[in-house]
Amino acid sequence: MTTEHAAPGEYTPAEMMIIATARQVRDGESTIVGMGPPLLSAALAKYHHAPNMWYCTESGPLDYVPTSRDLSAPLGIADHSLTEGAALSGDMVDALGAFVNGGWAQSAVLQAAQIDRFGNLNTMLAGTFEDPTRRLPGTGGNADIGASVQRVISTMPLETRRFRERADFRTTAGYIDGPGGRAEAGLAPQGPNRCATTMCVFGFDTPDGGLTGSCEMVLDQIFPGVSLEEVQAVVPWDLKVSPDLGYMDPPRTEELELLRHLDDGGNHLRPGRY
Amino acid sequence: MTAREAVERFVSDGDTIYSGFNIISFALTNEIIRQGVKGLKAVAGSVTPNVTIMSIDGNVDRIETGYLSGTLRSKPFQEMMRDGRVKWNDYTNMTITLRLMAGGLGMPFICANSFLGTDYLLPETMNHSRSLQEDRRREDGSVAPPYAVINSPFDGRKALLYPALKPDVAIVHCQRADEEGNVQVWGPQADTKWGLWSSKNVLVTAEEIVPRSVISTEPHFTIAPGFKVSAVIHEPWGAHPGGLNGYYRADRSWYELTGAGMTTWESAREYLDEWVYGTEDHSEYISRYKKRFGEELLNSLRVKEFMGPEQPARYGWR
Repeated sequence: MTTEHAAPGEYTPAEMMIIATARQVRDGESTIVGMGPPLLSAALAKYHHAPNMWYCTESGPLDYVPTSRDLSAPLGIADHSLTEGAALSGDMVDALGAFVNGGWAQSAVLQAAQIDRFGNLNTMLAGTFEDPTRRLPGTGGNADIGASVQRVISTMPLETRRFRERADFRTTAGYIDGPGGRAEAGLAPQGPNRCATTMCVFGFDTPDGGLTGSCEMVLDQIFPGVSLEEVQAVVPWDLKVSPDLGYMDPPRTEELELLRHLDDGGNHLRPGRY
Repeated sequence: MTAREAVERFVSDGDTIYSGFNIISFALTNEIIRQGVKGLKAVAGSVTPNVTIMSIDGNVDRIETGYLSGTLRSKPFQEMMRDGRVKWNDYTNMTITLRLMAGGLGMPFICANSFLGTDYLLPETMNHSRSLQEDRRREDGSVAPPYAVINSPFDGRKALLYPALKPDVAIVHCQRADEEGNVQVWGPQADTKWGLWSSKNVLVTAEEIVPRSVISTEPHFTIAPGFKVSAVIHEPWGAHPGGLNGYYRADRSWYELTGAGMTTWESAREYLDEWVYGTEDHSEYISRYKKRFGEELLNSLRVKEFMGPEQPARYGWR
């Protein structure tokens, strides 16, 4: 079988972001999937390369196993379709309490409005707390998940207003202010693992699971057609670059087709959203 | 009992009301607005557009939640959050659910690590100028924090305590209930069970009223027993525009068709006047909706393919 790749111009940066996020999801891993595009990325992963991941959402369904006759990604974390093929249909105490806080969720896929140098996420507001330029919906389950899950994959478009040296408000703990930050705050040392964007994928400098290293975001892979300088121009701090910096493969034709099918009607990627 | 009687009897000005993350009773929401109940505090893991609707005329003026789901598309709502007509403190989906659980279990507080290492622990977040400090005032006049970090008396490690929530009243829609008020729900349940167990009065609208024998052959679906429930009201389409697993999907055209997104004060006024104050009850609301937008729209939302037990669980003991 030949692996065909889509040519430049045949896909959008938002589609590449969804695919790059999906590629971080591992087969066999138990995963808590957050609101928005993560629902689409995780569904793509499940159909494409991770059929045995546990697709779980915070409203209660654990191990959603979509059937092939209805190929569309859930629209929300309480979408009725999430009980399809599920192993368990419970509530938030089951899903965020026992599954996530009990330490059984091996990874998480989360969207956020902002991320900072140390992987802290913001879904609360832009500007200052007393006089926000924009109030956002709040943390939902992100703070619950970020406090407990040891491999957090976040996703958002690469834009200067989203990538901040310090998030305008830290709703979800990453490495806080650097090495040992989580342990000092009373959390397990590990947290953010990847951040997939419209231009690249970041990792984190955590050689020893969040205790040593700088715990900063590190540029890991750049998308086809994007230059290092373009990424550096968006990120407002002195960005660390991995010595093994690589280019991510463009979407495979099958990934792109599957993605478009799963987002039938453009519910997640409708024009103007990104 | 009717929705009107239930709200008259069990919902009072200033109450704390649980209206949850999903399976929302729009039938009871609209009745609360019609009766002009004022100054409610809405609590839920996530609050949904029914809370926007209840905020326009001041039915709800305080919120404790983890997420404003769909409410921020309303400019009037955003304006009221900014100028303090709506006051709030932020929590998370899980910590609100756990706070309700603590209330239901009779515990004074519950422990979770969700806010450790975040800006929720800053004093200016806990006691911001539009926060619920008045609700947290103790008898001696001091203000209790919305949550507190302690060192565990057992191992000295940091732990975060959240106070129990005990709403005065819960409103919810369910798939079915019997006349004794045994409430059955299936599908993702989010914060519902503990919203019901923690609340003093539980008001339930049910898609179907079934005999006790239906309830008792599948008692594992019961999330609140009859003695916990103050009122059960038969309301088909009682969750509309929200969805109900196994019955109908959420009505995604509702916002645009009715102006319920409440993007401006004018559209909010028009929505309330026509769809809430202008209807006697939920059945009139539904018949007007059918008349205006055609019966096909509602019918198209009905679930047509069902998943039932391949091998039904059978209880037995001899």
